[in-house]
Amino acid sequence: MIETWSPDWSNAVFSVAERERRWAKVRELMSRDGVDAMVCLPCSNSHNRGAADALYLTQLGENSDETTVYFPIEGEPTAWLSRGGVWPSSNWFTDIRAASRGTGGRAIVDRLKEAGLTDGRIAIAGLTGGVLAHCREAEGEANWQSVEAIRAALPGAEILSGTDLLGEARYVKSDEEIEFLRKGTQLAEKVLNTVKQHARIGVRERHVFAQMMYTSAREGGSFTPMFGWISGPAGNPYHRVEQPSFRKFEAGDILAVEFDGRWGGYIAQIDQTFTFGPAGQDTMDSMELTLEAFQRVLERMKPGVTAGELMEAARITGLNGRAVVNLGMHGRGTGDDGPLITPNVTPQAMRAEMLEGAVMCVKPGATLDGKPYGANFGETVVVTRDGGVRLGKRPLELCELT
Amino acid sequence: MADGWSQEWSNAVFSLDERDRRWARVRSLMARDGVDLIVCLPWTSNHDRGQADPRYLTQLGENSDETTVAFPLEGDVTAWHSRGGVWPSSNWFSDIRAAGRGTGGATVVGWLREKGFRRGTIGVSGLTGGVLSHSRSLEGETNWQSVQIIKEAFPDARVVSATDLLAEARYQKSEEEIEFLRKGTWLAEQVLGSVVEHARPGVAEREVWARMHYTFADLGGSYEPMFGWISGPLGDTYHRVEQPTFRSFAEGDVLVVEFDGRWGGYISQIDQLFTFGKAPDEVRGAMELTYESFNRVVDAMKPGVTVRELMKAGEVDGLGGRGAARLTLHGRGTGDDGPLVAGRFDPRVLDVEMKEGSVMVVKPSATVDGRSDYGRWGDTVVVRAGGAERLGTRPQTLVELV
Repeated sequence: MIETWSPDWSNAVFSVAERERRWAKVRELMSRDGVDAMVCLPCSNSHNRGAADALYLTQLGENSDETTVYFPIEGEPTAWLSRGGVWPSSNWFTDIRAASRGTGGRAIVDRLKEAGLTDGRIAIAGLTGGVLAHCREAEGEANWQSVEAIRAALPGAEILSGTDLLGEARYVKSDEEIEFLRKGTQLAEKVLNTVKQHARIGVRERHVFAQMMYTSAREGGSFTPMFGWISGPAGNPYHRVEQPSFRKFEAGDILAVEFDGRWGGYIAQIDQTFTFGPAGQDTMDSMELTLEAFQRVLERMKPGVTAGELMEAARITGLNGRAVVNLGMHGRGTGDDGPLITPNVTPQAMRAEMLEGAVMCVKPGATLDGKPYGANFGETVVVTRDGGVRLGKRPLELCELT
Repeated sequence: MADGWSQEWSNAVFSLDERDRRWARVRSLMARDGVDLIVCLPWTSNHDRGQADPRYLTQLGENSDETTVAFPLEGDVTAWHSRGGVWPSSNWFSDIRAAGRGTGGATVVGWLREKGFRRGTIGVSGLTGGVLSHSRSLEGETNWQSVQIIKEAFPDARVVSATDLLAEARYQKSEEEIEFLRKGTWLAEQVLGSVVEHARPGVAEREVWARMHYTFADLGGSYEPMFGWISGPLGDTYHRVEQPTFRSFAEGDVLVVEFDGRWGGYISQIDQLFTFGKAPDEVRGAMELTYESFNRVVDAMKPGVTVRELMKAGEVDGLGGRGAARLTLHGRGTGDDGPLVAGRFDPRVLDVEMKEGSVMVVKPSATVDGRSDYGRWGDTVVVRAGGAERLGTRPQTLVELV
């Protein structure tokens, strides 16, 4: 067992300068909001996206390894995992302690007492959902009994949600973070090439899924990636699942996939529609509209533009009214970041402004004759003063698998 | 889009007889305990093991697809997913509704109001940890705000933990469940074969891990599998992680892996130690102690035997006092089932009795001169009336990768 972190037993990790930047930013916001300590309780929901805040503050918690974090406004943070000491991503700090799994509340109570913060203002990451973080979890992602244990043990403490504060800190990415997301996008493009290589009429969907998992793992991707999967006859496919069924692809099918590309816990995404056999004219035309929407959004994607304005930019109607393109979009970094633009978009998300360095998954999709999944295309994009800049390089095209 | 469930778009699913057996069993326990309704809230942590209960009651929730369930003492069962209607595992019932992700509390409140509910006892699954389920999450696995929403909406209701009730129902498996676990064990053995085929000195750990995922996914395994991973020089290994680093295997290394084998959401496990190069005599001796420990435990594993007795049976010393094998054991099915016997364990487990149909992962390990990772071997085992039955078929041999 090694006693100090070493590149010999490591995953992709950030620099110490990046640690300093993040911790200073979070502490500046904690000071502004009067927060004495930030707490992250174990939560590896939704393919580990529930651990977004802990990963951001510590880099710890790869592939659902449970992480508890105490992050004070001053002094060294403490983390707890199943084993204390060195971990493959622990190049930032050394106070990593062992705790039994599922005991986050107790660990935090003891640490707050040790720090003399029994009557402080304690923010719990993910206690509530938010516009910029935990945006898919309207009711938050913090374990009930752990929160109750903290409240019961520290009746003098003020407990509040750390979601918005951390969402604000995480919204604008550093160059290092953008490079991780670029690497993630490149990884997703390799996974896409795997689909091009293996998906054919008569092939089991599971076989293609297996090849995708293989590529993501071999190329060093952080696990477990999410692949949203829509397959079936063009115009009438089965709905989205996260694990393909035992069926085989058939002539006339489409496959519309969301691919996670994860690097060092940072989650990029690309989206692509494939056809099995030559694409029908409707599908080709729908894809043209989708690609036009994608480009229109990128042109508008400058600091200050709102998510609602981007939705307007993406809305295109074509094929004599039969095809309608709408924007799907959300932030990305370590978790379910916002603003989230779906058919159920909230007014708060629509008002969210793009900031320079914010990173979004821009993924417009076309409905055809009122049915979804006519054509989808998406990629991870960084907001710059000149507009949105793609982190991927693949051509803007429909993929025909013949 | 399918209008009714069909094998054309399906995963591995259980029969309607199995549904009727489970639902009747759970309802008999609800009647005994005065529980009017069981609620399962979304919590996909720990590679989806957090969703053990909704999986058991509905089969829904593959690969972290969030599931909310209302399971009343009488009447139809309702579940919520991101999309309503048919899902690949929805052959048991049809009232599957759409709900925004992360809205389990509000969803259940709406359903209860629809039913005219005002007072009664609501059992929330995973609200607490337990001895026989959610055994690795001592503080439970339920979202804080969702529970608070239910409590505040129905102040006259009694909200209790359903962890122990559902654990009691799940502790003894039917023949159908055992067959799923047998298939899962077979799958894990195929994944082990991938390691035998590809792991060699000089090969990247990531390459081997990728091959394991490929085999698992291609053969139809349920995602996300957990592969516990210990590697490094014999006698000085790195500790357990759930995602290998970027290092390559070296001559003189050992690799100790826990392999999940998941079929239709049912989780089996096997454990195996590999050496890179010829195994030293100490490893051979330690593995013999490990097999002896495993076999003694399996011989003792009859209905009525306690965990304390199994731990005693698993204590094997040898190598002139230098070697010691000790038992690690836990239940399995759809989640983190107990009793859990590991390094740190709840003393309440000592008096837990094995019952006919209980399924355990039995995985003793051996130390030499106090150093770990000299021996490990495990399999999934079912308790039968006349003794225990291994669900795997692989030989008890040390695997040398040369």
